[in-house]
Formats: sequence, C-alpha cells, structure tokens
Amino acid sequence: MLVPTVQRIFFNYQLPRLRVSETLLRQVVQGLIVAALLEIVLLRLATRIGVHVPRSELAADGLQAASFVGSLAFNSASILAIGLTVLLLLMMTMRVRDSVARFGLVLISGALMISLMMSLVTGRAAWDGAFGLAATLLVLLLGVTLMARKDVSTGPRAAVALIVGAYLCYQYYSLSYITYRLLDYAALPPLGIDVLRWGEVLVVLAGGAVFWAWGRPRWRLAGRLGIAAVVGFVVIVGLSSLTPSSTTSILALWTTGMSFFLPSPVYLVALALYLVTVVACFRDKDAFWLGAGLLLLLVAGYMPEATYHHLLVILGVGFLAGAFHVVEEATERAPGTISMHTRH
Amino acid sequence: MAKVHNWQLGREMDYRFPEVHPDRQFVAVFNINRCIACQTCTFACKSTWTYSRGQELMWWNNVETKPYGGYPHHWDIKLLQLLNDANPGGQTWDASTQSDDAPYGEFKGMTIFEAGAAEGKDSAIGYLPTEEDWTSPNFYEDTAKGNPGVPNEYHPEGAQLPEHNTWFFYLQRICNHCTYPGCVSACPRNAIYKRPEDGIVLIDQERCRGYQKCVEQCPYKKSMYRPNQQVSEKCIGCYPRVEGSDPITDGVPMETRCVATCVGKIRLQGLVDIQDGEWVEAPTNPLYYLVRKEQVALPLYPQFGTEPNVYYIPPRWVPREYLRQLFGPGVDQAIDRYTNPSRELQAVLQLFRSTQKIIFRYEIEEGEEIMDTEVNGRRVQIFNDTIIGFDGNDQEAVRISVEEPFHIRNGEFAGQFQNSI
Amino acid sequence: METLSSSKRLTVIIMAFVFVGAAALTLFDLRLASSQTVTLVAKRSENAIPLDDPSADVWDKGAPIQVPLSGQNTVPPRGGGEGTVTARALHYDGKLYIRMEWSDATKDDSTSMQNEFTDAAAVQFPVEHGESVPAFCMGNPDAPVNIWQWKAAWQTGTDASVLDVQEAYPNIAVDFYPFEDEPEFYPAAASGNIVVRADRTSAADNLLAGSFGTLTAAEDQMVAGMGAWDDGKWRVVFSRDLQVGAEYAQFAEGDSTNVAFAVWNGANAERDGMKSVSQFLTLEVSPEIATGGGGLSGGTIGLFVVVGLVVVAGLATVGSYLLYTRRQTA
Repeated sequence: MLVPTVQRIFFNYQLPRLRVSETLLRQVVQGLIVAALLEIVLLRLATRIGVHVPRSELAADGLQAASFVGSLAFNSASILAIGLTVLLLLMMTMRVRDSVARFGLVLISGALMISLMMSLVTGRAAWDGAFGLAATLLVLLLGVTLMARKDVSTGPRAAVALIVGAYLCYQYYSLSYITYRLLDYAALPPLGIDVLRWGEVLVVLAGGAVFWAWGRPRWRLAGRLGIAAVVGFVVIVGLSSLTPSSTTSILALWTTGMSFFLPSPVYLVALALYLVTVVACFRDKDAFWLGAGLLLLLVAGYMPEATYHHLLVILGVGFLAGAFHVVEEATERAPGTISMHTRH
Repeated sequence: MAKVHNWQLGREMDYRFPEVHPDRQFVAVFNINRCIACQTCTFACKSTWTYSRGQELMWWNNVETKPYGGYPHHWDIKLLQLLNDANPGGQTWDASTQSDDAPYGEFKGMTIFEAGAAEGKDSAIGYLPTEEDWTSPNFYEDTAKGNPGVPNEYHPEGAQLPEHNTWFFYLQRICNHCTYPGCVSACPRNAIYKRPEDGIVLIDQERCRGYQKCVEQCPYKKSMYRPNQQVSEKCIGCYPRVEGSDPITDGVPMETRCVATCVGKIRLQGLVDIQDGEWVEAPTNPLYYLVRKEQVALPLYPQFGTEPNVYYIPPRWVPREYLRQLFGPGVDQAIDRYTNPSRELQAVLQLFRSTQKIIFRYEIEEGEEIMDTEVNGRRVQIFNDTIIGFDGNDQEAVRISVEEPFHIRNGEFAGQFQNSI
Repeated sequence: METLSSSKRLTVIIMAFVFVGAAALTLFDLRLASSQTVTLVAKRSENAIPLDDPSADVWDKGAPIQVPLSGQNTVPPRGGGEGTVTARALHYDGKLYIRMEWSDATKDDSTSMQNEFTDAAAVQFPVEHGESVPAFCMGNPDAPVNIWQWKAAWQTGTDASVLDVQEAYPNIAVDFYPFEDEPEFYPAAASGNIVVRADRTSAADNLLAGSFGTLTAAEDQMVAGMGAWDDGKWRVVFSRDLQVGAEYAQFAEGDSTNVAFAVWNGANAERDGMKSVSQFLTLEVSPEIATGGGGLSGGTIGLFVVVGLVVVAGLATVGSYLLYTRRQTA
C-alpha cells in the first residue's frame, strides 16, 4: 500500500537524462587522483620523511611550503570527491528503473549528502554516525550489486568482497562507538578491537585477491619498468626497516590504522601485489576505472580518518563495481568499456 | 650515516653525524710501565666528583688489572666478542700501509658503528652492563696470568724479557673524550655534546632523560647511570681546570685531578690544536710529540672506531699479541722506542706530573752525556738535558733535567722531627 | 557528440573552479573534511575524581574507548608492538581527567638500579587545535604537541617520588656523603632537569615537542598523574585544569581536539622511542553529565549480530532488486 503511494508521489515522472561524456569523467577523476596523491605525499609523507631531514631553515621552509601545497591539494581532492560522489549517486539512481530500489537509493544518497554537509558544518556525533552509516550502506550496496551480477567472475567478486568486508569491519569499530555514545552507554562495544584485527587480515588478503582478479590477467602490461618500480619500492620499504633512516613510515602510511600484528613480510607482499595491479590497470586503457578505484582505496587507507577518505572509499568501490558503466547508456556511445571481466 | 675520517684506522668510517672537529682536543698519555696501581687518581676523581648519593657505583677514573680485571667486569672482552660475532675473524689490520697520516696502517675490520649498521641496528653495537658488572671495581687486582694448562701455578720461567710468561699490568681508564664518541651517536635526544673549545664530551644534565643509550653504546663503558637522579653521568674531563677557571693556576689551563695527583708520575695531559680535522703539526707539544711524532703512545682499542684521545705507552713485558689487540699494530714500534729512548724522548718523559699546569710547548737545553751503556745488546746514551715546559700563556711552567737532582740532607731537621713526637 | 578538445576545455573549466574553491579554503586554513575518528568523550562528572585511586567507581560513568596500538617504527630507536589501551575521560570542577588502562604482566616501577626500566604511559594533544593535525609522532616544528607523560618509577618512593638509594638498597652502608647539601653534586636536579625535580609532587610531566628528539619539559608543571597496577593491569589517571594560562593544549566544554596514546613496557627495556603508539583520535569535552551504565552484556551481544544480519539481508534484497531490474532492462 505504502510503496505504490510513495512511488506515485516521487517517481511517476521522467527524470532528466544526465549526459556526461566518459572522457570528461576520466579527466576529472585523473584530476582527483593527482590531487589525492599530492595530498598524501606532501601532507602525510613529508611530515614523516621530514623527520629524517637535518634541521635547517631551508628544510623548515620546504616543509612549510609542502604543507601549504598539500592543503591545497587536499581541498581540491575533497571538492572533486564530493562532486564525483554526487555524480555517482545521480547516475546510480537514474540507472535503477525499479522504483522501490530507486527510492532506497535516493534515501541513502540523500542521507549521505545531508549528513556529510551537517558533519562538515556541525561536527556532531549524530551526523558523523549518519554519514558513517550511509557510507557503509552505500559501499555494501555497491558490493552487493557487484555480487549480484552474473557477468562477474570469482576473482573480482572475492576482491571486492574483501575490500568491502575490511571497510565494514572498520566501520563496525567506528560506528559502534558512535552508537554507544548516542545511546549514552558507558561501556565498551563488544568485539571492537577483534573486528578491527579481522579487518586488517581482510586488507592483507585483499592485496592478493586484487592481484588475482585484475593483476594476474594483465600483469605483463605493467611492463618490466612498472614491476621493477613496484618491487624496488617494496624492497626499499622492507630494507629500510632494517636501517636507521627508516622509510617504513611509508608502510605505515599505506596502512593508516593498521597495528602490524601479522609478520611484516605479509604486508609487503600484499602491498607489492596490489601496486603491480594498479600499475597494470593504468597501462591497460580498458581498465582505467579499475586502476583509479584501486588507487583511491589505497589513498583512503584502512581507517578512513575523515569524511574525504570515506568518499574515496565510496568512489573506489564504485569504480570497481563499474558504477560509471551508466555513462555508456546515458551518452549512447560505446567507447572503451569498463571491463570487470578477467580477460582470458 | 655519514662518512668520517678516522686517522687511527687509516680510513673513512661510518658515523651518525658528519665530521666536525673541535678547535682543540683534550689528549692524555698514560705510561702503563710506571703505574703502581695506588689508585690515588681513582680517589682524587671520586672525592672530587662522584662522592654523592646515587654515585656509589660510579668510578669515572679506575685502574684495573689486565688481563682479567675490568670495570665494569669484562667490558672489553664482551665488546670484542660482540665485534667478533658481527665480523668473525675479520677484525684485522693491514700494517703495510703505514704512513704519517695512518701511523698504524689500515683497519680492515668493523668498528662498533659499522657492526651496528651491518646488524641492522640503529647505531653502534653495545650492551648494558648488569648491576653486578658495576660492583667490585678492582676485582682481579694483581691477578697474573697463570701457566696455561696447569692450575694454581705460575709459569716456571715467568719473568723473562722481552715477554713475561707470567704477567699482569695496570690499565688506567678515564673517558677517552673520543673524536667520534659512541655516546654522542647513541643519544636519541642529542643531549651529549663535544665541546668546540677542548673536545671534552659532556652529557647535558638538563636534557638527559636517563634512557641509558649512551651507557649501552659507549664501548669503554664510561657513561654511567645515576639512579637517584634518573640520568646518566660521565667523566667531565675536569673541565673547570682545563678551562683554567681554577684559581690555583691564575687562569692558565690546568691538568685534570687524576693526572695532577698521579703518584707514579705516569700521566701527562694537555690539549692539541685541531685544524681541518687533523692534529696541527706541533713537534714541541709534548702530547703531539709522544703520540704523532715519536709514536710511543697508542690509543686503547682503536678498532672500536671512536678515535679515543687517551694514549698509552704499552707495558714492555707483556706478550705482544695481547697488546696488539689492545693498542693496535703500533705496539712493537712503541715498545722498541720506549725501551731504547731517543735523547728527546728521555727529556719529554720527565715532564710527566711535573706541574699542574698544562704544558703546551717545551724547549730542551742540551746537557752533558752522563751514561753510555748497553741494554739488551743495544747502546744507550743518556744525556742530562734540561726540558722547560711552557703553560697556556707561554710562560715557563716547569724546568726539569733528565738526571734527577741529588739532594744531601744534613742532620739539621732530625732533632726537630724527634721533638715533635 | 563531444570532441576530445571540447571535453578538455570543460575539464579545464571544472578544474579551475575546483582550484579556486580549494585555494579559498586553504587561505582560510580550512580543510573540507570532518574528522571521523573514534571520539573519546569527556562528560561532566557529578562526583569528585580521586587521583590516588585509578580504579575508583566514578570511572564507570565515563564511556570507554578501546584504542589499537602499534610499535613505533618511524625513527630509531624503534620498539613497542601491537596492543590496546582502554581510555576514559571525565571532567569535574574545571579539571580534565583521562584514564588509560592496559595489560602488562609485570609491574616495572623502579629505575633505581642498573638495567631497570619503568612502565610508562603518555597522552598527546596538539598544542593548537586546528584543521591540520600535527604528525602523531611527536608533532611538527610548526605544529607542536603537548605531551603528558607518567612513569611508574616516579611514584614508587616515599612522598610519591623516585626510590632513593636507601630505599632501593636497604642494606647499603655508606660512611657519609660529604657533599650532601651541595646542589652542584646533583647536577641534573641543580640544572632543573625535570626527570629528577626534587619537588616532584606528580608522577606525570608536562612536556612539549615539535618532532623527534625535541621533547622538552614545559615551564609549568601542572599535570597530575597517578597509576596503580593490579592483577596484570595498569590504570593511570592524568589530570589538568581544562584551561591554563600558557601555551599548552586547552580544553573547553563543547570543544574537540585530538588525542593520541603511548605505552612503554619496562620489562622489555622500552624507553624513549621504543614504545607502542596510537594514531590521533578525537577528544571531546562535553557539557553533558556522565551517568554511566548501559552497554551490552555478553547475552545481548547477539542483538548486535542480529541487527547486523538484518541490515545485510536488507541490502541483499535491494541488490537482488537491482539485479532483477538490470536483467529486465537488458
């Protein structure tokens, strides 16, 4: 009774068609990636590597400048992430023809955007909680959408499941505290740290699954140079943990929030497999969205610290789930498809 | 890690900080041959600096009996073991490359810093002595090496030169105020520093937080933890005296307490000028002369790599192999030159413990030959030269001749002495 | 149909707008993001909080958070490892109280003999809470951090101080100390080194840092701290006035700042950078009254699981719908 009524009120008219060219989208996403990487290098890496730079006025000025440019990049990335998330949600909504599903999506999208805005403005726990819940549901939804698709093979399913699973684990930890706070409970939510540790295992497993799903079929595309760069990077990170001028902070960076309770080579191998996959996907012009999605997830980290990082998770999982697929339908052209299939 | 030049090793080595040198360096020469282990130095130091609560286990100066003694117990054996574990069998010298800049040749092994880096450690290798290690500081006093394989017995031909089969000797130890101190590189708080004016190494007592990294990484174990102060302390090189701020010498730099009180006249301490990281050539600075020109005084365990600045005239009677491990490849030459001293060395050796003032320069007035004899098949001539030492203001501080003045006392004081009893 | 160049032009225009927006935000020192880290909430306590009893019942009213720790691996000396600390916070009568609780099998509360290292704990706040949070490792030169560090050894002796020689070695025999009353023979204390301040009344120090190796005692020692070890667990309480008249971290009802935790295990010879650390979390000082209670007992954990399952099932349904829709359109 209720559903048809709502349907009548809200959806019995034709939504305007959104026409966005994939080329434009790609260019904007590239902008986001550049800004996000700049942010991570200038803000997070610079402060951690900066401690090994001998103290001098020049170094201090350099760090100051890096911090300013990093802030600029952070804000640019954040604006782009918000814009792209809005676009992603619009496209998803329009793509769904079923009115109930569309209603659900509109509800979640609306909740996400309103709570994001309110969280930015007020910083209140309730809005943080609403934003976290909406983001969790959206990521879960994107994951489930992928699972439900018949044309997706096991590899991508497993990889996305692990990535989404890890995010859910962290969100459980984070949201359970907000829930307790809103309920005014003065107790520890059950299993908080345990779930967090499970999530860390999922992150590490995801490294392997990502390679299996998307890296293995096209690892040759990464090229000798790409593989050498990745291996070199990981070896440097690994070896540096043995030297005084440590750059293991890079590892800490990648795994923001991880406690490294597993043996460290496990993390290094997972990181290497993940990075090779990212490089290979970027070399494959048909796999741009995969590469972009994986990279954004890497930037977001295991424990997304701010709203911006959560949006990167949504976009990342969205790209992996082929959410911008809709572009083709909307623009009615068929340029490079977003391949979720492993190529045989 | 930076590359620094260590002249004692005749090569570059790894160090945490880039090469920086003081304008002048605190240097001391200890003549092991003359030490009687009266421990006057030890107590002069103790009663001056470490007589207070929390310093009970602390001996900035100590004299230990080698080969068995050590404060803390077996400190050097433990370090040598660590180095050997890091570089088994590789701790060797190549003496064939000796030159003026590398008087002991080139060290081919690993320093404590290099061994630390090789083990993936943050800085130097080292260990924290236990509570027991710091107790009984003079354990094994006068304990000689026995007859190998025969318990409770000394070697039947124990005392025969050139090398005794039954032997011990006293090793006098203070902080070496190293050029590349292990303690400085160890301190995560950069609370230890080497003074630019005299190279004395000090722990900033205000910044120290008692992490004991310096205790762990000083190979000579001369940083010590003071529990009730929650900080580490170390030999301060009697810096108020070296600065000349002690009223006794009217502003002229003065030897440390342990040096100035030496009964056996085995110690000489002073300052050498440093320029561009090198000892400025000063042939009439007694320390420069003994260490760099005559090369009779050698650094203790130079292979540790800290470039220590206390030098030892090695004991004549001790098996050379043991001494080479302690003092490097310069041992044979040093003993040879000490046992057959040149005319100048005979004079310079008189300066030891002749004045409290630091001697910066000496002059020698030649005297007549007083002895011409043969020792161990070699001709030895002794001249009664007079050596004049000059203080920090280039004023004459001491005048002393090779032949000790012979005083004849008549009986005029004997009665007074009796009356006073 | 768009051409590549027209899309490029559009991209440039979009990017230009984004850049202008970002530049405006940056110039006002704003970050277009809101922190989503776990929040430690300090509510107002109705009862006084005893400093000498870190296990006091009043703490049950403060909402706990459990924070993961990992080994400090950025600079030497590295150390510490994986662990957790449970933190609670309250405020009462203008003072902020933070309690840390963590497992430690051994009580190491003396540094009064050679080779002894103490258990210790610290909380860290940015000196100025702004949009950009300092590096959680000891802050940045331009964004210093305020650290409160407690050491077990600082409260073991009589008068809640370090053990003196006679306490550490009851059988020691020393004839006399000739310089007993001369401060220059206690140089650390005489130079004002905070680790040995003779007038120590608190086992916690107020410190400042602006990157590694720069930890310095603050001029005002205003942080109270007391810990108690019981059955394999340390509980340590820190306390300070919410507002202080100097350039340290400031707190106010309704305001938030960041907080990070560190723990040292003395049995493992941990000191200095050898420690287990957390990332920065949020600390909020709330005007609400801490009432305590609530939470889920073992039996009701199932409720959480059921709710979770319902959510998953619901989403699976939505997903199936999507699939169904897709098939129909395809």
